Amino acid sequence: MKWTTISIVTLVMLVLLWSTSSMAQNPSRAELLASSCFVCHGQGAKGALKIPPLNDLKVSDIKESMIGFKSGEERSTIMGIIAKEYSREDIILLAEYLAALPD
Amino acid sequence: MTLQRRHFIQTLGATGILAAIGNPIGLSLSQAASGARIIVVGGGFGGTICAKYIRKFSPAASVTLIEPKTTFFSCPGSNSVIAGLHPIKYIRHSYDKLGAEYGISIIHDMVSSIDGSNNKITLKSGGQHSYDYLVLSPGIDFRETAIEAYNPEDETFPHAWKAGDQTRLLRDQIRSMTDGDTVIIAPPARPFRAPPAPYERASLIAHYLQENKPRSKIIILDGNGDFSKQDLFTQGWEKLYPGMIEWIGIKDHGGITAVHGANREVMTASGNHFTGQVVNIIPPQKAGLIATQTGLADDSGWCPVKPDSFESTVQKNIYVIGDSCQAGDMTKTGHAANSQGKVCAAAIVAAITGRPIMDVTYNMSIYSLLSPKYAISLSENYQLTGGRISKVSSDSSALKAKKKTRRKEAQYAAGWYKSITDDMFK
Repeated sequence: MKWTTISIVTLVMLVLLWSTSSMAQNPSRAELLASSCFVCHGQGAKGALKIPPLNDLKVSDIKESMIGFKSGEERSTIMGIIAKEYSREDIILLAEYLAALPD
Repeated sequence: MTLQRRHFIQTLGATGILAAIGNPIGLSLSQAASGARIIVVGGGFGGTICAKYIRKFSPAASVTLIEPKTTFFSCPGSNSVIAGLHPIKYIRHSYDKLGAEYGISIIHDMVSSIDGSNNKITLKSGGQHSYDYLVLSPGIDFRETAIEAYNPEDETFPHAWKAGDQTRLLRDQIRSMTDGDTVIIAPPARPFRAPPAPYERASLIAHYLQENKPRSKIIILDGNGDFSKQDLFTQGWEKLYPGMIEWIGIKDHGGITAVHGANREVMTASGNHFTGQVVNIIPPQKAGLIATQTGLADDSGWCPVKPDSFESTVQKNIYVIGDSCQAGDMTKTGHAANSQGKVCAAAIVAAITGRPIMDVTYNMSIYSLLSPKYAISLSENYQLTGGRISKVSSDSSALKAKKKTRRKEAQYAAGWYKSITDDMFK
C-alpha cells in the first residue's frame, strides 16, 4: 500500500517534471530561428513557386550554402544579406532543424 | 493532427493527474499546463502569426483571435490587383484553418474597450472576455490631416491603404480613365505602412496605362524629400515607362493644403493646382484605434514597446505588434509584423513557463514589383543593441543587376507572397 502510493507519487512527479521541462523548451532556439525561413521558403520549408524547398537538403548542404551566402562566395539575390547576421552556431542549429523536417 | 495529440498528452499529463491526486509539490501549473488565456486582437500579418505560433509553441494555451472582418484582404499584392494583374481573390484569405487546424477560437467582432488593470476586454456586441496576456495587432488608423476638405472616407479620393473595398475602388477608377488622363498619387510623410509601396503602385499603374492608355501620366506628390529604393525605382521607371511617371518631392510643392472634390483638384503650399482623373491620397497614419483608445500610444502616435518581447511599456500584459508599435529601426511592413508576431509569441510562452526570452536576429524583406517581370527588394536585419531594436545591416537589389535577376526577383516576390500568407492562414 505504502509502496504503491510512493511509486504513484514518484511517477506523477516524473510526469510533471517531464511535461514542464518539455514545455519549457518550447520553442527551441532552432524552431524559432527556422520560423523565419518559412516566410519565403513555405510551410515546413517545402518551397513556394520558384523559391526552392529546404526540407529535402542535407545538413551539410544547408550549412555550406549559408556560410557561402554569408561570405558572399555563393551568389544570391537576398540570401547574402539574410545570412549575414547568423552566427556559426545558429547556422548549424538551423541546418539540423531544416534538414530534419519531413519531405 | 500532431498539435492536437500533443495538446491532449500535455493536458492529461499535467492537469489530469494533478486533479486526480491534488498538487503534491505545490507547482502552479494552472497557467503552464491547462492553458494561459491569450487574446489576440487583429487578424492581419502580425495577429494571425502570433496566435498561430503561440499554439505551435505552447499547445496547451488557449488562444482567441478577435477580428471584425470575416475575410482578410492583404495590402501586399493589392497594387497588382489595382493594376489588373490579378483578380481580387488573389489577396483574399479565409480564417477557417486557424480555427479548424490550430484550435484558435475566432470571434468576428470589434473590441470596444480594454480594462488593462483587470485584464478584461469588452466587445462591441457586449460580451466580455478575460485574458492573462493580450496582444494587439490593430494595424493603422488615419490621422487628422491639415488638408482642407479632405476626408479619408471620401470615395472621390480613394486611399487604398487598407485593402478590400478601397482596392476595388481605386482599380475601378483607373479602369474608367480615358487615354491621356492623369493619376495623382500622394504619399504622406514617413513613417507610414510599407514605405516602398506607393512607388510600386505608381509602377504597376504605369504598366497598366502603358498597355491600355499610353498617353496617360502619373504624378507623385510626395510628402517626403526622398523615398525608399529611390535609385532603383527611378532607374526602372526610365527603362520601363520613360516619361510617364513624374515625381515631385515635398520641397518642390510644399505639401498638400486642400482638395476640391468636384474637379478632383489638389492644391499645394507652393500655390500650384494639380488635377487628376484619379487622385490617390494616402493619408498620414498612426497606431490602430483600439491601441490609441487604450492609451498605449505616445505623442508620436505609435505604441512604445519593450524591444525583446513587444510588451507595452505603458500597460503590463498587453503586447503591441505590427504597424502600431514603435519597433526601433524596424520598417513597418507585413514581413516585419510577421517577425514580431513570432518573437512576441515566443516571449509570451517564455513568460507563461517562467523562462528567459530568447535573443534572436529579426529580419524583414520587402519586394516591389515594377512590372510583372521586374522586381526589386530590400532586406534588413535587426538586433537588440543598447535596449532597442537596431538595424545592423541592410541591402537592396543591385543597381547593376541584369534583366534576368529582376525577373527572378519578380518570381521570388510571388513565392514570398504565397509563403507569408500560407504562414498566416494555412
